[in-house]
Amino acid sequence: MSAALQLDDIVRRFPGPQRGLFVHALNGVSLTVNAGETVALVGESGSGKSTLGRIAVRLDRPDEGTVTIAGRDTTRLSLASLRPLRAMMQMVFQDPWGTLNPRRSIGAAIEEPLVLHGKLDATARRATVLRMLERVRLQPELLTRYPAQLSGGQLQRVAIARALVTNPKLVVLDEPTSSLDLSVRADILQLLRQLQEEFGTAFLFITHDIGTVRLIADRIIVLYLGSIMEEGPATSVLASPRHPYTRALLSAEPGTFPGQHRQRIMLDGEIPSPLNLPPGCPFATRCQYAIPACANAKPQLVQGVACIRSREIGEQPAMRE
Amino acid sequence: MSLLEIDNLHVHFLSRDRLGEPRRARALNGVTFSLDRGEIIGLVGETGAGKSLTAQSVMGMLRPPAHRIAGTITFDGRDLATLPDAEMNAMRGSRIGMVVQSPMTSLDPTARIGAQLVRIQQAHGKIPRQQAEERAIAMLREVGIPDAPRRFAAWPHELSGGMAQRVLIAMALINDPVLLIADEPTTGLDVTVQAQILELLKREMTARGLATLLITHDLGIVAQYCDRVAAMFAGTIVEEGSVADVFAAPRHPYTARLIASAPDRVDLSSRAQFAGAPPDLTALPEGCVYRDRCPRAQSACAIPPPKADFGNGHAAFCHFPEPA
Repeated sequence: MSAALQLDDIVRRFPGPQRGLFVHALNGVSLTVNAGETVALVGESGSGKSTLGRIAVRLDRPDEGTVTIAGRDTTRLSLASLRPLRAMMQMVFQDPWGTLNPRRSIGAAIEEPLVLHGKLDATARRATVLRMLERVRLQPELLTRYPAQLSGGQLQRVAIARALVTNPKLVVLDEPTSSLDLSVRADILQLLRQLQEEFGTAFLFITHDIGTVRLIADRIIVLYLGSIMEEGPATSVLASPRHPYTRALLSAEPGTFPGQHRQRIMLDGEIPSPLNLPPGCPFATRCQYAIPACANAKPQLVQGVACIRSREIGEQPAMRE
Repeated sequence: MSLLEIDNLHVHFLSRDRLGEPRRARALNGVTFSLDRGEIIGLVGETGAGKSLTAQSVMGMLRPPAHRIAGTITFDGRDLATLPDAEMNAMRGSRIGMVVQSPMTSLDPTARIGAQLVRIQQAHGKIPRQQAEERAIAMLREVGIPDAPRRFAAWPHELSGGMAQRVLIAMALINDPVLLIADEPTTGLDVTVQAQILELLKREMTARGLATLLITHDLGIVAQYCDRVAAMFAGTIVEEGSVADVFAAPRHPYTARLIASAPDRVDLSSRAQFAGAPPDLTALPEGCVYRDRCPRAQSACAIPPPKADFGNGHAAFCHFPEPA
């Protein structure tokens, strides 16, 4: 069986502020998301994670590399020939207020993908919408309401219902819980997990929040400045991160158990400009383990980690603050 | 006597609905707490609980349709709520500093950051220009801005989010305040940058003995950086206590549920629901504001809940607090 999503060597550059200058958003990223699996794409702003999500569902097109969804190469398909395939790939965005048409009822919003893609008649569509509403645990009377009458958590459920109603192979969720309160976030994550079990959908879950990753991810991909730093099963990446960047990222998250002092690894500075990529390791400018060799060549992803020193570092005890 | 004492603060939003009928949203309903010198209190709660409104009340920044209906805000022995504008202006930015969430929109985009740091000093006292400039550069250095003399001449748009937040902190601290109000100071920053900013804030708060009111939705920040915590729901403080006590054994059902939904504590395999509908501030229930959502609610909850005291300053306003 083919993977729900396969990206091979994706490169994406955007025109920069001057002629001949480019924003190097993605620099050769490859990844696979299998059916029924949640892959968390973790990174800070400017890491290229949202661009990657948009490319996955072909809202954007890579400059190099290929995008394959459920065995079909969609990289060079025109918008018209993509259209029948859209039912297979859906997206949920961060801001549910911004993604729902304020003048369309909740029922109409969830029904729309069925109108565009399905062969169902009006009665069957209505039954499907009602079933979907129940699956995202919303009351049937919300069907005739408008987005302004719903809370953020309810709206995000509507967005999820709309994404899943065509039974897609892949859903890209771009920070779907970042604007929600903690308790609402917990409910949405719980719902996503149950829906995934029911539908067997593949999720590419884009987030900057390590706490969310801990809860939802089967696998983790850590992105920095348009390149993968580390990838692996969630349990092992979280328990024993091997890339210095992953370590710093995980240690920066404040836990809610007072007095639990993680050894916090402080990084200096911020993510460098994607206009002038350093020639070697993208993280070398902020890495406490960097040696001159790190600036020479970009490290390849070997056994899930892109760091020439990962083996020696792994054997060292963690640095104290 | 504490540095800041907020007593029974009520703030309502007064407006009219589409039919012209008066509409009253009870946003703050008797907020009461105090803050001592050198102490950091974290104010937590969901969107609309009144956290930022509490901060704005202290800063004297309430604007219609928000109105203070009752209550006092005593800072250093004076009631800020009734202070004339001119005196409040003198207080704001000097004795009380504030750091807000979006650094990029809080800096004046048409002035270099050095000029803004000089301006805020000269607004609060006669200080020769050169001395103000020297202090500004020293302050930029103190908040960890590399190459401070050069950055002094930078425009806000030339700064990254983390650097802009450092500049805001410099502005809040440059007039040596005794009270700092930080409203979601790291929301929107990347987690590695957030860690830098929090360490900076903590260092400054400790070094200067600042009393700090830290508003955040991030329970981890409260657990790691605050001394005390106050949980708000529907404009009411439902529980307060030391961070150690409250996180170990939250006694108000709302706080218990909030803490249980933290990402490093939540159990997603349980079928329990974590959130409830946001409260309707125009039609709050009689008695306990949480009772419509509370799993422990009984008929007694229709009368205002008593203060249940658990010692060591830990208290919850609840008829039926959770067992420890």
